[in-house]
Amino acid sequence: MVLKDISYGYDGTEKMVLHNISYVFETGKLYCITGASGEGKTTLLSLMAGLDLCSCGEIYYENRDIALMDRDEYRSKKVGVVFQSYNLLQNVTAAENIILSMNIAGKQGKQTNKEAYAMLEKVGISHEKADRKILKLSGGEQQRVAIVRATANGSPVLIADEPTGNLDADNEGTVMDIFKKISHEENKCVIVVTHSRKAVCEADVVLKLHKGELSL
Amino acid sequence: MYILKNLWKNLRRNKGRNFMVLMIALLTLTSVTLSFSIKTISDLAVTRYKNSFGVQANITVDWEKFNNEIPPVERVNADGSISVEQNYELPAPELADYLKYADSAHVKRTLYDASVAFASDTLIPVPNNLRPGAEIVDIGGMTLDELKKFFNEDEAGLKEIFGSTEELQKVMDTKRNCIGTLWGFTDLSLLTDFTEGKRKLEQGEFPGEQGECIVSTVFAKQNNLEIGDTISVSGPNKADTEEITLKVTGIYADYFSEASAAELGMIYADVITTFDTVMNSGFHDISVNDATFVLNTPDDAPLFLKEIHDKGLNEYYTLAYSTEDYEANTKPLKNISRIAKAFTLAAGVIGAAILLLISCFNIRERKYEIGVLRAMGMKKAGVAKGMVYETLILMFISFVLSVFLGGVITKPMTAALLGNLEGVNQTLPPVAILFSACLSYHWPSVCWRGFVLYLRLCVMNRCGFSWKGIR
Repeated sequence: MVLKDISYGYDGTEKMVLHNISYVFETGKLYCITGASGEGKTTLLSLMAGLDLCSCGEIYYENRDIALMDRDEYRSKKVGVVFQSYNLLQNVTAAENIILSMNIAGKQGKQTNKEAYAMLEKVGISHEKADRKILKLSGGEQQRVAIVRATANGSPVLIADEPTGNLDADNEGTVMDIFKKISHEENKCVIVVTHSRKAVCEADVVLKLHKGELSL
Repeated sequence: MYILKNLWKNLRRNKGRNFMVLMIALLTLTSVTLSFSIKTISDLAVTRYKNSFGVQANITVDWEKFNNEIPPVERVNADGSISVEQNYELPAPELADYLKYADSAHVKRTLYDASVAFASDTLIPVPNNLRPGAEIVDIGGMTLDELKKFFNEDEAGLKEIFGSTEELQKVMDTKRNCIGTLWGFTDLSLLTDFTEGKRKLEQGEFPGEQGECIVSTVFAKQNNLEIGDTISVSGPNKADTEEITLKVTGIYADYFSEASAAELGMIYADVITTFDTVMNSGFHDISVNDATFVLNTPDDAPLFLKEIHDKGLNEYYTLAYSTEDYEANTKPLKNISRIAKAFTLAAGVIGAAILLLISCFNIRERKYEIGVLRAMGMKKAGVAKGMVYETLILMFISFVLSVFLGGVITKPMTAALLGNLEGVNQTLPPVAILFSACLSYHWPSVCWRGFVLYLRLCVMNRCGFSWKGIR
């Protein structure tokens, strides 16, 4: 994923939150983006996730400008997103959350069910827990489900916005281990926005966002 | 496919909300179906009533036109008094004319009444009960000399009194033993004395077949008649030698005012029978008194009048008819129909507004879910499809239940409102079902438009759901 001179300002304001940011994110690496609150970390992620468009500049994914792509398809197949507050569908089970994500990405059939349970098993969510409603899982478990959902569509890029912000130290460690595994073992590009020092320590590359500019 | 699979799950998962939507839709659709049914049935009842009731019209002299165009003339009598007379005699329609007029597309049926005097050697005439000093002289059957003496006129004077030589001859040819009048009617509604309370059937029943009759209590007592007895009468003319036999099926009482009843004792000798009995009696001097034409609707009256004028009715005759009964009877039904129509509209609009509001709240409540699905890459159309299908299913269930409920409630409801109107089928009319189906089909699209509007106003920014919106 390549960021090329991207800038962003909110509608109705002249002030730019992000200024001419350029960077190349590579697969197989775990990136951490840090910075004070209000510096534009979440805004940057929303641009990379295709949820918003840059005011200036381009974001290339596999050499294609995502602004010109079908962004619904981009979100469903190319990029997975993990939120601080999990953002899972609460009135369905953990497994159903995963299956729905796979369905949206175009994966259908009975095999998807097995895959969903297997993926959850990998992050420590048993079959029994996978059949529980989301609200009957702990915060750490919910975040692991959210991570699985983000990767279940087979996307090569995983974007996480303060994924450990609501978790205790143990769960934070577990989640970061999962991110490391995903980036290193599954050769995916994982970009995490975080304030956590522990999380930063686990990263392959740490980037700092300050006054709208991204630096190493 | 996964949208459809999720649809069922979503419906089950959001039981409370969906039950509320279902109940509101059900109540609204049932109200609409019911009120539309009542409207349809009352309209149908009005139409059927129109067809069955009709408007009664009689041929009568248009006196205003007649007097304007042929003014009466004043005549100075021999004693110096002045009388006003019409020199133009209007030709009265005869039975053949009435039959010709009755053969019309505007006429539902025609009611006739005819009368003829009857004579009998065996039946005892009823007393006149006149006041002391009063006397009734029956001139029927008098010879020319007796008439000349009675009226103190010569033959020319008598002709003038009776109008013509034929009428004078008719009086002279009348039997001396005429004791009453035979009245024949085609329909009981023509017996106005009975409907107005001047006469009342005390025993038995009205004549229904040819050869049946009813007699007054006075006449029955005078002749010791009981129900089932027969009487034999002949025509009023001396040439009427044959008798007919009538079976007494009922006895009626007279409740005329004392003055008229006492002075005109002859009314006690009225024998009421069917029109066919009179017409087929073969008696002389039968007069068809009137024909009442039952027209299809009030709108037919002017058309029928034109038609009968074209068929030869004198231009000074017109039609007398009243739409008061017709309007009085159809007005309540029309009012019910109007109220039902307004209620249908109100129930539809209020129901649609409530569902639209629920839909908006629903979207607001599901904003989180929509945001998550959109963040996962589900297309807007996919999200919309799922929600519209959910609404469609709820509406379909509501529709089926409302048709069932409407069908159950319509019958007692319409029976209570409209009574047991003959010929009105009080089950749910298909048109009400179709209307309800149409409404339930269109509600999702109305709700969907509200949803889109809501999204545009509140949720969506230029490229979809904002990141913060999802969080």
